[in-house]
Formats: sequence, structure tokens, C-alpha cells
Amino acid sequence: MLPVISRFKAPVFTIQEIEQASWFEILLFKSRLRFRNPQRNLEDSVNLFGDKGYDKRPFVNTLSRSHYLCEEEAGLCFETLYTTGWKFYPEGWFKPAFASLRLTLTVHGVLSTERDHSPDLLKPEHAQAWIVLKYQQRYQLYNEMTLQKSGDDFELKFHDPEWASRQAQQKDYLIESMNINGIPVFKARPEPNIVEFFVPFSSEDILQFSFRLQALNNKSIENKMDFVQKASAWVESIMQTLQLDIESTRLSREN
Amino acid sequence: MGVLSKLFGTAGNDLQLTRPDFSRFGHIELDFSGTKLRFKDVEHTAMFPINDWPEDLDIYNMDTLEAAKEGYYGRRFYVRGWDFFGENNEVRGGVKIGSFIFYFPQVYSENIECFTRKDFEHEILSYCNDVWGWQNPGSHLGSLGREINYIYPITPSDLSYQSINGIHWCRFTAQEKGGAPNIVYACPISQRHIIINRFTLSAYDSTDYYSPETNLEQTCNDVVNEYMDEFFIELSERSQKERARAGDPV
Repeated sequence: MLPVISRFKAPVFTIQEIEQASWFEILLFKSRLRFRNPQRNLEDSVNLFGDKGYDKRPFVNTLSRSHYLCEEEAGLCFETLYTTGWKFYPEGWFKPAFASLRLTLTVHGVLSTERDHSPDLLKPEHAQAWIVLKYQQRYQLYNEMTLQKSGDDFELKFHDPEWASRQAQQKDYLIESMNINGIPVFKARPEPNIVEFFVPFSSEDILQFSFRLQALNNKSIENKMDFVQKASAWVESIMQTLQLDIESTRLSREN
Repeated sequence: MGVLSKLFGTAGNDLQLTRPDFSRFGHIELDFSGTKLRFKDVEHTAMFPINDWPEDLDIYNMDTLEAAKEGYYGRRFYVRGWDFFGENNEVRGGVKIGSFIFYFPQVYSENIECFTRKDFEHEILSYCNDVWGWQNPGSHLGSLGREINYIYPITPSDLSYQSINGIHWCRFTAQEKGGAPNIVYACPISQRHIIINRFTLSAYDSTDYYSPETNLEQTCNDVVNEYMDEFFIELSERSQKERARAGDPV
């Protein structure tokens, strides 16, 4: 799309834009996820498989997890379902985009090693415990190594894993629970520019909506806090359109 | 549908997979020591060879059956496979039928009464545990184990019953987690014999059995149902007497 035209297409965050957007719909085995998905105007970068972004519609088999990336030692078992993004422009002519907002939709599966810790994600306390565990694992990984740039070189420093683990355990993780259209949703803000929503849809499966806001042109944002608030409201409006039809297909576990 | 597709065959559609037309094929009849089995003999179209050919059997003669280490005898007496084609005539999946007869002779199973529900269900659950249980670490009769990779019946409540052409069939499914199922029909045909029709449903290559991108799940179910609708069993006089004697029959 020509930049001039795109400037008209996505002026600032307008809630009306979300109400008129087409539905994003995907089947997660027998569960159906839907939400309003404003038309993207931000290109994805090339992913590990050489494709631009991810779009696993119309179906992902979350029961077989056949295409998940699972690594028990790293505490990972997920598949990226969809990526999209929007550029936002200030009002007026010929002004460059000042910010971008990227959405990454991921489905996570509980690992067999985590089942004692979070046996049923449909129970709020188990879901919250699992989310905190994931953030602890992430921060531990961040704390174990740091990457610093010195001139043209990068320096990778490794730290004591026990210290990194302690740091991750001591950090406060604020998880806010809410209800959207009858669906229990958990919200977290791991970084000032990142807001994440977690939506459990079975005892062992949970969706993660990760929104990342990035400034593209700091100078053109006159009131940053005002802009961040508008962006937050826009994200919330997308999440308010969330619909999830759960059909239980799981058999109870036998021991 | 264009002229070319009419001349050179139908252009497939993933949402309307092509499958064998069962009405074009006749029935085959087998005599199992007086018990008559009659079912459709639909042309085999799947890409695997067949080594089991249907024939009349003396089902009380242990020499015609193969011994299993668990103490019963069995034989696969019928195999067929049917592939389903979609766009560009690419095969998307298929159904394989394997029909088995199991014999529990006096020497190993003295008091067995396959017509009674308790003995029948015990044998079916043992069969499930033998066939699929090895894939679940720690599994045993009555338990799926500590790590569930395969889901199959472990208690009588996992079994359902369905009456088809006057025969009360036990029906159940078994599948790898999230995978295409096996649909199994079983019924006793004598005090010491059980017949099992095992349908193995498959999705090929990148097709997912449950995905709405194809109507594979529906096609598979239709084929299984049509096949079973044309499956008739007429019990021998001896079997009918044994059935009449059984308490709490299947």
C-alpha cells in the first residue's frame, strides 16, 4: 500500500475500526477462537522457516501437538498461531508512522513435568501459577546471560544460574484476572511496552496474546503517556471481542 | 464441473473427497462352522498389499488359527483398504478394515462364556490393553498408565453397544492423542469365539484428520457406517443354544 494511502487507512487508534474489522477465526482441535482483527498494515519479518510471519488458520491440532516446539528442559511447549501488526500515524499529511503494535498469538501446552504444579488450567489458581512459572523461567533465562555491544562486537556474559533463579523467584509478577464474554482471562504487563493476555481453553492448553508497542519515531510523539493509554484502550477493545467455544474432548486422567 | 473433468475423470475437491461407491459391489459369504457371515466385498484401493484372503473356516480347529502367547487363538480373515482423494487427485486419507476371529479354547479358558457380558467385556478390555497399552508407560489392565500417549477403553463404561442387523455389537474407539481413531466393532459368535472388525482411519501427509480443510472425518465415518450396515451374521444352531443359556447376555 502506498504510504500516503496507508496514512488515511490507519490514522490513530479508533475503536470504531475494531468494531468494523473482520473476524479472525481458528479451530483449536474442537474449540473455536474468534476475535475482531483490524486489517494489518505492518509487515512481518522473516521467521525461522523463511516465511513472513505466521498464520496457522484454519486449524491447529492442540491435542496431538504435532507441530509444537516442545523442549522440556527449557520449559517450552508452544506453537505460534498468528502474527500481525499495525503502524500508527499522527494526524496530518505526510507524517511518518510514529509507533507500531505487534500481536503474536501463541498456544502453549502444559508439559508433563508441569502437571503436578498446574494440573488444571481451567482452575484460576492453577492458571495463575502456570503463568507465573513461565515468567519466572523467562526471567531466569534473561538473568543467566547478558548481551552487551562494545564497538562492532557483541559480548555475551554468563551469570551464576542460582543467582539468576533467585532473582527470578523474588520478582513480583502481577497477574490480573478478568472475565471477557464469559471467558476467564489473565492479564500481565511483563514490560512497560508489552501487555499479555492468557486464555486457558482446556486443562492443559492456554492461549497467549502478546501485544508489543514500539516507537518508530520518538520525535513525532508529543504526549507519550497519552499515546500509550490510547494504545492500551485499543488493545483492550480487541480483547473485548474475544469469543471462545470450548468443546471438551479430554478424557479424565487415570493413574 | 467442466467438460475436461467429465472426459478425464472428476476433479477432486478436498471438501468432497472421492471414495468407493459401496453400492457397486456385491456381498461375500463365509461359513464359520455353521455361523454365516455376509458382508460387502468392496474393491481394495489403498496402497498396501493384501495377504489375508477370506475363506470358510472350521473355527473349532486350532490348526486353522494362530496361537497367541496369552492363551487364545486368532486369525485375521479379511483385510481391505480404501483411499480417499481430493484436489489434484491427491490422496488425503483412508480407511483400513481388518476383521479378526478369536478363539478361547477349553484347554486355556475353561469356563469362558463369551455371550455373557462380564466375560466378553473382560476379553475386549484385555484385547485393548494388549494392542495399544504398550504405548503408555506404566499401563496395565484398567489403567492408561502414568503417561497417556494412546487413549483406549479401560473400563466397561468406555464401551458402547449398537444393534446392527439384529446383532448387538460392542463399539469403541482407540486413538493416539489427537490422532485419527480406530473404530472397533466386536461381538461374540459362540461361547468361545469373538469377532472383531477394526477400522483404522488415517490422514495422509500434511492432512489433519480433524481439520475442516477436508471432509475426511465425515467420509471415514460414512464409510465405516455403510460397511457395518451391510454386515450380517447368522449364528449356527450350536451358537444360538449357547447364547440362550448365557446369563446377562451381551
